[in-house]
Amino acid sequence: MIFRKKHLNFLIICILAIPALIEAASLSRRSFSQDLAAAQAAQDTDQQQASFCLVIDPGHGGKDSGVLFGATLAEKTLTLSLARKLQELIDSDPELNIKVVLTRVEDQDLPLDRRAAIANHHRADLFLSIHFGSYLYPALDSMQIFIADYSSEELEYLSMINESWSLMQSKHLAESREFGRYIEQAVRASGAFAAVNFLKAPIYFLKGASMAAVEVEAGFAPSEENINKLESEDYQWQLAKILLQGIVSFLNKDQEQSQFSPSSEFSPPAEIDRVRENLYGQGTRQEQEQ
Amino acid sequence: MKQFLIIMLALIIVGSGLWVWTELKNPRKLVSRNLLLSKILEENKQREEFFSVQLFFASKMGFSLGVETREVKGEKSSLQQQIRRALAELIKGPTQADLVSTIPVGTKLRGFYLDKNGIGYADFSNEMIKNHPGGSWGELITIYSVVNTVIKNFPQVRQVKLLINGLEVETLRGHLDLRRAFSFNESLLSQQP
Ligand SMILES: [Zn+2]
Repeated sequence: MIFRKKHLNFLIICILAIPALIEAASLSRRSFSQDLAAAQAAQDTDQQQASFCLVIDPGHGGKDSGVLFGATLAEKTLTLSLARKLQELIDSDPELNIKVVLTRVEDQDLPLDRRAAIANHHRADLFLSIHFGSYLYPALDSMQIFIADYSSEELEYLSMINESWSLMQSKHLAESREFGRYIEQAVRASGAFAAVNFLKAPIYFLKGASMAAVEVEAGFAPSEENINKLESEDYQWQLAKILLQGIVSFLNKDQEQSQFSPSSEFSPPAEIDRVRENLYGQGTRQEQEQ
Repeated sequence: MKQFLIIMLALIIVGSGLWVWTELKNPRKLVSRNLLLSKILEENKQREEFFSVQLFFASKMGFSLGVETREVKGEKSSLQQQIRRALAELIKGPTQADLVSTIPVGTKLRGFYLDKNGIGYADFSNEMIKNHPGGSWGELITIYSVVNTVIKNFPQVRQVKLLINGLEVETLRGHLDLRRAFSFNESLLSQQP
């Protein structure tokens, strides 16, 4: 084999190229690690910015329309619309430090268990499921606030068969009750509903949630007037603000100086009870305390 | 030959007529027959006797269940038959003006079974889901109207589980967990003055 000048040139090029290649490799490595660091930092600041995570669950969706108000207005539409407004309110105020995630952002099917699973996945602090009901009787605008409920036999059985998923919420009932109380206070203080009921019930989609979890169901008589009201943007914004008040009060409950402190914001319960008494004669409030 | 047959036939007729006549005339047999007759009548009457049930319907006035007491036929029937009759009355709906029905239109009770642990299984037809308006409150009031009606009147039943078409279902309309059995609910009762 004859050593030609062409080969020598190639060898020289190769030798010269080695440092350049090394340089390039290290550069790319550096830029990758820089990217990683930047991402980490972004995530850190994201976490710093949002000290709370709220998962809002617009009830029903897709094939499941939920309750129907009149011929055209479906519960699934109302829940998504209200959830979006609540998200918008929170997102527009960065000082709230609340990161909001919706379990669905469009009209889609979403299995009941998926809803709490999304909240668990995001390690949410709060899970709020939004529903609307159409009640023929009692024909009052009313807000029902539900927290999960387990029977003692059920707890025993679920533990025995190691059904950890459905047991999840049983470890957070105290927080959920507190969260529900703050929502209840905000709803009562708003005066937007003629009746407010705080109830414990075996709500299916709350059972898998491993955080404070509450369902609200705003119930209305299925009148033309109410359907128009429910469809109105103004009314939905009003509902969103009431829920936000409850959420913020709960999150700030330990800060007594907070502007959202319930002691300074809310009317005394006695006054509310008096108003209710005038409306129905007897108290209609159903409370299920342990 | 023909004459002989006629005579035989006449003898049989006369003989049996005499026998019936003496039987009816026998005072001892008459008493026992009347006793038997009255016993049968009595039994039928008792089987038709009524028992009273407290039926839990939704109250129009508040967020609660109200009670309507009704007399239901069949005091002497079995426990499960009695429960079925009580639930049939619940399905019919209330007569009191301040109460509303809690069971969707067209719903039928397919059966009621009681296991040895005191858990009753109330098996309803598909209309229970199909015609239910939905909502957490709506489901709650439907479930407890059944549960409270059964347990209040038949304390042998400790808990009630709802089945649809013989099967366990997750929920009626996506809210309350029907995989569990329910106990009597005290807190949904209307506060009577
Ligand atoms: Zn719903």
